[in-house]
Amino acid sequence: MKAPETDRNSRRLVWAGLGVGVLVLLYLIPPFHIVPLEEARSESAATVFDAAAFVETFWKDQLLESADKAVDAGELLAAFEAAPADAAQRYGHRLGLSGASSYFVSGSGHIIAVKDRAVAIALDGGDTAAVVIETGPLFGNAVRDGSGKLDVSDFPNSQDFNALSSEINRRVEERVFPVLKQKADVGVLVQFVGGVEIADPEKNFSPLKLVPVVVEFP
Amino acid sequence: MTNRLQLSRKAAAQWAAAAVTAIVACGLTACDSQSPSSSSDDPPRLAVVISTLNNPWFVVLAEAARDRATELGYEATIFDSQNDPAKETSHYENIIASGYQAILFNPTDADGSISNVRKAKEAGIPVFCMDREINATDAATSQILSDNYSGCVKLGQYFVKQVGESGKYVELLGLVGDNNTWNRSKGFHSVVDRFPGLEMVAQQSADFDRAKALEVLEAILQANPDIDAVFSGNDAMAMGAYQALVAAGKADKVKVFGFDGADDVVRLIAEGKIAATGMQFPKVMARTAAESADAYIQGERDFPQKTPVDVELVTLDNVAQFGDFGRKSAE
Repeated sequence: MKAPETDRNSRRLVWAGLGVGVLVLLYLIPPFHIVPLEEARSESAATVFDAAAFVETFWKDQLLESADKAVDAGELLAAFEAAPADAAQRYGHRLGLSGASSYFVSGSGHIIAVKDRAVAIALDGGDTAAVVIETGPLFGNAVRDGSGKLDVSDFPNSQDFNALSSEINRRVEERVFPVLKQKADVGVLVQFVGGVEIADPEKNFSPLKLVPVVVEFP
Repeated sequence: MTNRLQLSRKAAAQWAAAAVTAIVACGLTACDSQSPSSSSDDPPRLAVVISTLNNPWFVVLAEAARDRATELGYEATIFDSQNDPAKETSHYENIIASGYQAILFNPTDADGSISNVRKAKEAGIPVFCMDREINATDAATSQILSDNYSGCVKLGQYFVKQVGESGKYVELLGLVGDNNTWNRSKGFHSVVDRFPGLEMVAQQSADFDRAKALEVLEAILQANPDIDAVFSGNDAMAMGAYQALVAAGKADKVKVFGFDGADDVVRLIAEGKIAATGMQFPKVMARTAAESADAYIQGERDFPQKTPVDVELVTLDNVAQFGDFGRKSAE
């Protein structure tokens, strides 16, 4: 009778030991972690690309800094007039296998027309519209691609790269258009820097449709 | 008895070993009809792994890649992942085991496919993505991708011109795990959402599938019989949507917009039945991928990680310039 009792005790001991072992393992290597919902949300938000913050830095440190390297609007138009393909090659930026090209352009001239959603500018010494700034809702990648500063290959998810265009356009609408709309009047002198996107320079390049990052009224 | 038992165990072990060897040998070589065995006399082999062949656009992508690879002197095999990441993984295992020299790849999932590409890279096989991207810039050798977002910005602008600044519309989304779905949707909404009078009454996924789009739009029309337009994330869904509208007697009133540049949609644009599509260039992407793979095999190592390919708007005004999945003059 004693032997079975001893066996039962030792089995209990083994089970207890195993139980303690499992508990220790669970403590050391927990199969899951409980994290407060707020903490999880903020961790997830931290991994989401912040286009607004990126553009804030890009605008200040790269776009405005390179304004003096923008091609002169008159020079660009003359180059297109002479040899569109060469001009696109020399001054433009192409995104991948794209027929369209984009440019970073500067210049100054007199406003010759102000309409609901557009301002037309004649360059210094001219009297016809060489540059048009459309002041309605902005679309496209004229500034992002025209600047030549951003490379799609640096963005693992191209949605992030595309978000930059939306953010840049939003910023132009919020910060640049109000200045333009407030002071634009026929005959007024304006200086500008911005992006231009041209679908096919062989067919249609003038007037340049400019998305401005800088407009100044000296 | 004991002896007989020992003998039969031995025999069983031998049979098992033989069976395992046979299975492994099969897996590596001849049992997979898509993975022909190679000898030193055979041309080098390229694999073309496609998300699905249940869509004519992807068939064009696959065949153009295969044909260009063949022109360049390779034996190219097409693998259909059937939109199933598990099938895609299994194809990669076969391809890696079978000694292919490069993979021309159209992924099923921007995140889920990364590990397959990494496995190939570790095995020394370069991967060239076509049309769809993976969310990593250090795995594939190069990615040749449609510029879906910009294409849908153009499409969105044309949508507003055609539908006007007010009206009700439906959006049919593609596969929710695919970046192209969201690049297209976001490009479109970056324009259309600027016009508060344009109301999206329903947004549902139809998985880039024509039959599903037909079902989904039929259900949506029950609750929203007065829509003005449908924006579909691809042309297969646009065709499904158009069929649903024909069945409901609304095809003349509701404008359908697609994306891809599939032949049947281009034809319907010419007939004035579909409003517009975004022409992607599957043949350009496929050929570029095949030529890049060839250049890699010849020793080239300097490739841009991502090469976006322009998307062009096809409307009634310029439809005569397009056909056969591209520009008539260009392809």
